[in-house]
Amino acid sequence: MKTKNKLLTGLGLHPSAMSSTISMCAKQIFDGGFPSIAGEYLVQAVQLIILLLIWKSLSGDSGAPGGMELNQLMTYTLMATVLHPQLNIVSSATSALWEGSIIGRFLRPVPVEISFITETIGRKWIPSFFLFGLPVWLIAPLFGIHTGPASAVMGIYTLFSLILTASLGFAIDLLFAAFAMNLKNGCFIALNIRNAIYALLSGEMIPFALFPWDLGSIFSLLPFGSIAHAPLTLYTGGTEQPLLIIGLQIFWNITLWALAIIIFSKSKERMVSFGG
Amino acid sequence: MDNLKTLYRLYKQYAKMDFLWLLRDTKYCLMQIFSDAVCAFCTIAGVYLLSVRFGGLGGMTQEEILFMMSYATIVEGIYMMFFIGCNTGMVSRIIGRGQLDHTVIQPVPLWIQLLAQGFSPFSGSTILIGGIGLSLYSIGNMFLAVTPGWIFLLVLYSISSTLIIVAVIYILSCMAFYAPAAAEEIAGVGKDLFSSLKTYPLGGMGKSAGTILLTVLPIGLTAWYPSKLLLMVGTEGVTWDQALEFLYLPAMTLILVMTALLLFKKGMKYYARCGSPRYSGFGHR
Repeated sequence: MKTKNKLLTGLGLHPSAMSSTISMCAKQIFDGGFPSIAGEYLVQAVQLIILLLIWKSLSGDSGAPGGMELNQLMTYTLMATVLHPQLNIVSSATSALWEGSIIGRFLRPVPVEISFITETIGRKWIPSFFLFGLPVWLIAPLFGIHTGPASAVMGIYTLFSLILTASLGFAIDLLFAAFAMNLKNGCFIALNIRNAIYALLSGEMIPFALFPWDLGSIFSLLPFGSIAHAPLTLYTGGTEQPLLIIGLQIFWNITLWALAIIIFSKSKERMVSFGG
Repeated sequence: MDNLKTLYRLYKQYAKMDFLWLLRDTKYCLMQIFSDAVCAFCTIAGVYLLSVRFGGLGGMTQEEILFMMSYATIVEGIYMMFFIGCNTGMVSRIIGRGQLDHTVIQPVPLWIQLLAQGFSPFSGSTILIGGIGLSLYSIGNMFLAVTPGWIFLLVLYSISSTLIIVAVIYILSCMAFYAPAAAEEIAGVGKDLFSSLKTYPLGGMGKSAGTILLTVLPIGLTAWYPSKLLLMVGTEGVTWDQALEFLYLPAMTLILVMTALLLFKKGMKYYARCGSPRYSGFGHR
């Protein structure tokens, strides 16, 4: 009876169900599509080089641009590149909605939200870390970039912050997926807007300290600011109040997860997918 | 001549269809326009804010950066208006999905279809209009000497920069002839390369980095380099001994377009022989 139930309901939230999904998705990178993924890494690498060269030229003019030491800036940008998949979480929710393949997730014996999270970890985090992030992090010292955290304590804070960042990233991703569901056939509009806002407001590309008119202080209070700006600032030791940053992340996590759960479950019922 | 007439007729048809989409599906069309505007704003805002903070960036003043942003927006706008529809600007999707078969059975040459199908003058013109507005503001701000020759150069360079983006996308997309599934989305890489990186000013980066970004990865040719030359013409004027510098962008465009055509033709020959393995009994993928 127990076996029969297991067959019918699957393993649900059982760790082995999640790890199987993660492992399957991680292997899919070699099933095809690798040229596109390698191309994405190339774009990230070129962006990293351009930004590092810009920071160097700025540092030549003003010593410590925006109050950040050149070393800090370089580490900030390096870690933003290495941790890109964790700082800019885009699950397959919107594309699956567009393709119509989202229906398959509803048939699986795992909550649909968990499906998206495990797929993202398997498809994006693991390949990106081993094939791009880790090699870049390892060779960075050869170019004079400091790769470690500002201090051991800041490293521990960063670890906590990174977990909160990932959690917040998934909450925001679910909210945008819900938005996409409401847009029906225009779901890629939600994805485009999301990518554009992320690039500016998350602090992943340009540290908030370099923005004029104290805009950085305002941006850092927004939920997007708690995503990339928070862990990267902690890692580079750019703050004297790490607990305040983590507290703000916890606040946004509670608020946005509550919103995401309510809005996503309501949007699921309105979901229409034509297939693409 | 007949081909040009056909192209013109098709442009008219696609313009009409785009207008009908705006009328019939106004809500989605307006949302699309809004999303394009947000994307364009966010793309240029980051670098511009940096230049405001530091009174310039990469060897350019704040005003010059604004002009470069307007140029980048115009180039993006031309791409969006002429190539965003029907995936003609993301041609690896058409090739990889086996959809070239849909075009080769039409009684119109392939190049005409690829040029015309993407034309979206109503839903895809937001960024171009924004770019023109921004460049007018920036020109007024800097008191640039705008002569007919300068306008001609702006138009020539904007078209050249757009063609460079399209050519690189097509060169990469040719991979989809040989690996349809793996390279179906490769055009997106080419597009991302320019969309996310062309707004950076590349001055002061060192000779080797600058050379790479003007040759192998021609990102600098889609905003920074042409804006620098346009600014030079508008402020200092030019002499004949600088002619080579001014011919570099059109020459590179020609080389890249010819390379794209050559590779595409080669890919088409392969396609004619092998077809698309994406077709199966239950659909195209």
